[in-house]
Amino acid sequence: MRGGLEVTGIVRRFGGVTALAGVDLTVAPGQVRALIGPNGSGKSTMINCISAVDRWDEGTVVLDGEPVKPAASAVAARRGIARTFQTLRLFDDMTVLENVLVAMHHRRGYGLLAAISALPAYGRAERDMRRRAMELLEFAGIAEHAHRGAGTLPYGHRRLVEIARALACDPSLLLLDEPAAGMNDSETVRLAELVQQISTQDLSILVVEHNMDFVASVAERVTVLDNGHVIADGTPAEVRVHPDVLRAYLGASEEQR
Amino acid sequence: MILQSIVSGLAIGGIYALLAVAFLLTYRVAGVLNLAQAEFVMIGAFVASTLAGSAGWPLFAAALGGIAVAALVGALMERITYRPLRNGPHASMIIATVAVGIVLQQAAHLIWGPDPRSLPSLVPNVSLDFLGARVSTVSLFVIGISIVLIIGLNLLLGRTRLGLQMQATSVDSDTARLMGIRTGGIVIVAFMIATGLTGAAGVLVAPLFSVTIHIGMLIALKAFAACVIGGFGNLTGAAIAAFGLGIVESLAGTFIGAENKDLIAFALMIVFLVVRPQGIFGSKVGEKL
Amino acid sequence: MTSTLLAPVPTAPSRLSTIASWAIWPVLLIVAVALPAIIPGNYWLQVAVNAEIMIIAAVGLYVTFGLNGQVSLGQAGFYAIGGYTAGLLVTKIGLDYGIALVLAVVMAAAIGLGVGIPALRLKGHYLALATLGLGQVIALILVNWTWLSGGALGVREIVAPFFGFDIVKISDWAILIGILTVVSIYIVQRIRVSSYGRAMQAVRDSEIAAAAMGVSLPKVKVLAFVVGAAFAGLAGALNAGFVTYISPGTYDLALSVSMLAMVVVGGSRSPWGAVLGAVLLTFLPEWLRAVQDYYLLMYGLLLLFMVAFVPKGIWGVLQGVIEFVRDRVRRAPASVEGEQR
Repeated sequence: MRGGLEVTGIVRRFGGVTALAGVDLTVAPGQVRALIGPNGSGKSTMINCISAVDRWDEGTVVLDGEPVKPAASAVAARRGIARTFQTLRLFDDMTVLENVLVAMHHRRGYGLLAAISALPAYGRAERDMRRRAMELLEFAGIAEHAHRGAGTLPYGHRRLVEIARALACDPSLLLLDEPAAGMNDSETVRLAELVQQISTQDLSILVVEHNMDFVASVAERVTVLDNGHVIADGTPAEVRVHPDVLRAYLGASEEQR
Repeated sequence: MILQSIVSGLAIGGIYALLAVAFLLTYRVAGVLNLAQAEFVMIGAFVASTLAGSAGWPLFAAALGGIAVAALVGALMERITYRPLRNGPHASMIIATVAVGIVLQQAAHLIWGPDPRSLPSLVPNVSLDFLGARVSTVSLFVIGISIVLIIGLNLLLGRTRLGLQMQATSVDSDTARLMGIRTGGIVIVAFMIATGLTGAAGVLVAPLFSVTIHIGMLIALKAFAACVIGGFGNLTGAAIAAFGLGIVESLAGTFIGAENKDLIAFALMIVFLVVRPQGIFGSKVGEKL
Repeated sequence: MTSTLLAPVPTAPSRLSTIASWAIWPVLLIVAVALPAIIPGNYWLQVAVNAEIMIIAAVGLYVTFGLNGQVSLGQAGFYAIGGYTAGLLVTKIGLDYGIALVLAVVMAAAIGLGVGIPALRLKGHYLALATLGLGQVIALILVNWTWLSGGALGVREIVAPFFGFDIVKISDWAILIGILTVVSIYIVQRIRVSSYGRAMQAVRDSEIAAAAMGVSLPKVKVLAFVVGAAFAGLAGALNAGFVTYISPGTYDLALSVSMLAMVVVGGSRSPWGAVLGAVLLTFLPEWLRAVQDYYLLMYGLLLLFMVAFVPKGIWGVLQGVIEFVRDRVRRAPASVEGEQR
């Protein structure tokens, strides 16, 4: 099994604000872990650090024994860390199929010259990539939209495209940043089923989510962040009744009064 | 010799500074690189020249007329390019401003014909003796006016309500709008101030060169270079860089020869873009305009 | 999740479309070679050849700007480098024109590489300014460094055999340039449908997401930039051989702008858009000779109009019409091969 993640002592400051104040997090190979916490607790910052989209000031991120380099997301992706984005970053002017194919670019298996001269190796590689991409789209349930512009799809479908695209990286660690945001109930249930199916593959998953029902249905373990600190770590059931967690969420809603 | 060179360098530097400041103002407040700037130099010069010549207006009034028309056309440009394209891709806006430039240039060509025009200087051209160098009053006038206008702009931005609203819009236009600032109006005003200043530069520079539709081209390009060299963060920084560029060019022209003098601005710009893209003074976007 | 609310799905292309997509190349080659026979008179043939040269530059810029989203206002600079490299090699060293052509492309690509790498840190506006400055620098060097370029007088009599063959008549040039034009469009189309093309578009649409999916931003951006520079260089070198005389005055900002305009007006989403734009903007001044004084004004207005209201260009409009018709003739559900036109 691959996808063992060890994050130790991550500190991330933005000017005067400390978004992450020494966070430890572990995802065992093949595991599904959820990362939850009130708004502003540092969840997205965590994902940005682990996926190396951002850098960090202190601490280490280690995947399957090898350290991850900060602020080098392409390198991390090639190593097997794939992600979706909270704010949805699709390639809107490309088709759904093309979006997925982009994630296979670094494993395309041919050079520029082969592409220009249309060598047989190029044709084979393209066919294989397209076949694999269609499989992923079928898995996500959106194969019928393969040739539609990604920007034209309804919101729920766009989220699925992002997931299929991330899977196309052949990841050992899949990071889902609020995948259910903006989805209605039936879409969320369908998404949870999808994540469960994904978790049977040879990878581990770290999900950031607000929806506790969703978390309970997909995650084996949950880490809770508050103000850049880990305040709880356990099964969904344990975390749900943990006093510190309740305080953090209630505290947040009290401030809003 | 050197002093003379420096003075004339400051004069052309003053022109560059007006354009650099105008360019930066539009960029900071509206997010638009106005690549049609050269044509506003042209408008200022042509309109003033017509008012002074054919219409017989007194020079000062003609100058104001040129500036006013430039500002009005600037407002028009805001409607045609900024308003429809502000949420689109950068490339569209860049191309749109270039297109506006072409349209303005050709319209001027059709209206005024191909012959160069002339515009006398606002002050009589007298050669003064200043610390052993011969310095022209025209140069001193240009230097003086450009400094006055730039300081005036700084005061406007720092001390008046309008100016503060402009600063707010330049930092974060969404928040500014939420705070009740009419950002739409602010942008138009920014355009008008910028193009008005550019028109003023046209009026100032017209006596020094012949007034053709190409009068603004090289100057505007060098003003862009000055913005890069000084940094996009601060109007004063860009102005200083522009004055400096004028001096460097002038000295190079005197001592190394005039052929390569134009290259300096662009070579410096490219060097800065590669080595220090934030310019000499840095682009601390979010600080004062 | 049904799709009843969505418009009919664009499906895989029909059999006809697939045949057309490879048949078009031999057809275009035949047309290009037959052009001297089709077009009456040397004058219009010359205009057509000029259009072909512009097509080469435009499809190159399509890669840099259309596929990869980098605004370059300095293509005239690479065009100049191509022209002067070929011109100087032929006249100063007496090199064969064919070899000079190859070296000109290499030179333009090399300078594109030299510029493209530092340009990586520049986005949008800054890149536009940098390429603008670059174009100016090159133009100024060509005027001022007389020892290198012959100064404002330019380079004359750029005449030499092409890999041993004498190319003298306009119809001979038309055949050579026509073939190279079709090859250029072919190469660009192949880049577009390959993974490289997809990577370039991804970088254009979202750098962050592209990087997060493993795409190397520097490699892709530099590649797109170098391809644009190389094709501009090829066009410039062909122009130098065809016209046999070059001077710095040709390579000004207006030329860079018109190259960008060709891609924008024709349609930046497809190499065929660039082709259309190049042909249109080369023939337009000829057709509008009667209103010559107004030509540039109309050109500026056209550019403004297209950018504001027809962002996908003329080709985009045509494509919209074709898709509309195709939706009426819908076929099988989506399959693996969805190819772009």
